[in-house]
Amino acid sequence: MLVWKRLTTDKMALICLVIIAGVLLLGALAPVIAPHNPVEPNLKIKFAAMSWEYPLGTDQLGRCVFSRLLYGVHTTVVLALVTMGATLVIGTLLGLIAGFFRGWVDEAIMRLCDVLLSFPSEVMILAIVGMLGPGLTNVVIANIAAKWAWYTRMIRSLVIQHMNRNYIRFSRVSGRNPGYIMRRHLFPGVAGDVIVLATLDTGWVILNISALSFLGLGVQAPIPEWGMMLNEAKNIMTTHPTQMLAPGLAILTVVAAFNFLGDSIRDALDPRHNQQKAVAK
Amino acid sequence: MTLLKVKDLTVRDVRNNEIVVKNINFDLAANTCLGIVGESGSGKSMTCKALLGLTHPWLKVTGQIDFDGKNLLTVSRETLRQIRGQRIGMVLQDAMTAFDPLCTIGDQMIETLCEHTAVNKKAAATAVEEALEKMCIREPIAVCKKYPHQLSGGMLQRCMIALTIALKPDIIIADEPTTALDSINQREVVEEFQRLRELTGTALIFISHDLGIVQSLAHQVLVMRNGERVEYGAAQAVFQNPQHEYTRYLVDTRISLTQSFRDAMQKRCG
Amino acid sequence: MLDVKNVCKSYSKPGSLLGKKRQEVLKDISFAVKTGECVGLIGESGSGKSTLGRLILGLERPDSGEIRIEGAPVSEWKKSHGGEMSVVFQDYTTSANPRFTVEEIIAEPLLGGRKSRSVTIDVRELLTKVELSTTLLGRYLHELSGGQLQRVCLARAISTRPRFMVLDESLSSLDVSVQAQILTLLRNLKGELHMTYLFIAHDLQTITNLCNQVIFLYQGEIAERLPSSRLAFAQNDYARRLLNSVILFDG
Repeated sequence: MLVWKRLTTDKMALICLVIIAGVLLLGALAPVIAPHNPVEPNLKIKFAAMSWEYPLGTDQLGRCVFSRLLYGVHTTVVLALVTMGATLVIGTLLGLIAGFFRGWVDEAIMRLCDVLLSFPSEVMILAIVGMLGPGLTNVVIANIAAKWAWYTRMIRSLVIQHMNRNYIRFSRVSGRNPGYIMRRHLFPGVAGDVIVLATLDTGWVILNISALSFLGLGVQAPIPEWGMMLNEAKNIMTTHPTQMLAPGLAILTVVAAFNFLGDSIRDALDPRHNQQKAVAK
Repeated sequence: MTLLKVKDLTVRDVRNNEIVVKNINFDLAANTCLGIVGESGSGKSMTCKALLGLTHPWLKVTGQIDFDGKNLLTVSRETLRQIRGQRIGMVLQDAMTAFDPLCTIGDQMIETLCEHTAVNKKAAATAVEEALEKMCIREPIAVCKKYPHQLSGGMLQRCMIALTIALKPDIIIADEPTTALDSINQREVVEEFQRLRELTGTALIFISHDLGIVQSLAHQVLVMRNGERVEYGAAQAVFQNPQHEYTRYLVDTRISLTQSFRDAMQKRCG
Repeated sequence: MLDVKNVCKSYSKPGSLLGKKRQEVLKDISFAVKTGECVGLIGESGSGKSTLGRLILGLERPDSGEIRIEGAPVSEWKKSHGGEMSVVFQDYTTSANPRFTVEEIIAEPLLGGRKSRSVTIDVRELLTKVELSTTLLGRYLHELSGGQLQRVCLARAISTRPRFMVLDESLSSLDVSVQAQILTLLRNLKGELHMTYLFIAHDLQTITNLCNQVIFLYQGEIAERLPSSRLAFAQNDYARRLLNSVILFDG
């Protein structure tokens, strides 16, 4: 609760939260506020400039860019969040267990991670999507499968660092059960670092989803998706460079908001950091 | 002969205008030892850092530090750097982290010597060997080939002192060099310092909170509290007959803390 | 109370293949601590005294031999006697979770994260016991001095009314006057709570001040064990060297 209070006094964090919440809200309200059907082509008016009817103009098939952006929130941002969320849950759980108990549990989890990490993640994702077939759910599954081992490993090494701190030792000596120590000390201890990395990675996931969509393995063609919009715009970059602006800026804004939010969360989790900032001011 | 004269040394934190060290005055004569005593946060380490110009940029040092006809607070950075290496040496508390774990002791000592004095590698190696021998370290060549983690804390501390000696400085500043050591190593290090002073006539500034060690080494004592000088004078006078109540308090706690040990050890005689 | 029998511990040397080259840290250590005793464990850095401390606390397992508390192996005893063993470490900077306030730190062993009025009262009592002002309750540890922090750790350590307490170099990084205060405090608490102490340190003078028995540990072996009042009669060569090299202060 204290963390939340500190977060809300941080202006940057508030701005980021408002942006992310706003984007999600716009995405949720897309059917109501979108002026046009995002998938209906109208070749007569392709590459139209901004107007009241088409707030951000139209694309190469004459579809309303603004409407596509709004509907794209569903696919891009929501899917990226789901992917990251699931990756974090798996990674944190396994990482905590491996780092806390060590021994054979640790060995088993780590060797599995080694196996998964020995493939380049792109190859891994392609292989999984190839196996399961194209589609949104499969893209999410593939991304999680490619990423969880990395997180498990990182969280494990963070946990091991924390295990040598005296307050964890004290808790263990005083007979606390492992669940309590993980919940109360280890998880908050590693959460800061993990969140910062996760927010950075959200951008990576957004790009990955669009890359797969571009290859025809993820989101199928007419469904609006930011990365795919960017990829389509790239093909006509020389003739209509402005087409890249809308989806590009949308991705930039959301990814940046996540990154800055990550920084703010880290500061809020660490009371010392807060004070240093105050002194610096 | 006065080697170093410190006048009204004041260190102020410009960030919050806090005064860390206030109006410190002392003289250091050749071939003597000044002990600086005080609790943590009393500004004793800060005073020495200020002498060498090693303070953080946000600390403003004022006053006068006369050494060799120069005021160390006004000389150029380059001059100060040269003085720091060749004329004033420093021994730190934590010898474990003062050496690079990736290089052998010998290599590091030779490298430091080459950098600060105009000698070639070969001469430096001999100098290092000599210095280690002076420190009564057996098999100096074998020690030189070892990495820091292979030596005990006391041994590393002695290597540090040996290195400082090899540089032949006029003044050595030792900041809590014995705190992390057990009594055998403590005594050895203290004896090295004594021998060093007798052999070379180097002046010594010895910072410690261990009154016993300061008493056995120092001629003059400076007692500090909260950045201020509480008492300053000849060591025996200060310890036997403390004028300030804070000095008396320090002396009394020390005595009461060690009373049971003294009692236990005296049984042999009685 | 505590019974250590033929305990050995070795660590694999870094860089050796499959951990075959091992460094013996503790070699066949055996000693016992009776209830109500205060035993000092002294040795130079690297003599294995902190490793022995960790083994006794049940944080690591010995390679061979056994450590029993009141007849039961440490890990089992800890399960059935939660909170009856406690510890204060040397490095107070990592001794408490930096995200916690003083109140949360001290209350931690008392409850599972929940707060209740009785606990708040207990925490206040504990703070008075270690001679700290209750105004510190809401502070974070980076706002405290070393001595204050070590007292907070001590308050936390005694919050569950432990019967056995390990003090691992708990005083070594403190000023002499603070050491003296905490030693008095430890002596009073010992009488009040009937605790058994194992005091690990490298400073003979503080050990003799608190302990009635002293064990000299040298290169992983017990060199000698003596009542602290009979230190002058030490037989072992290392113990004698250690004792004779203490630089005394005479006022």
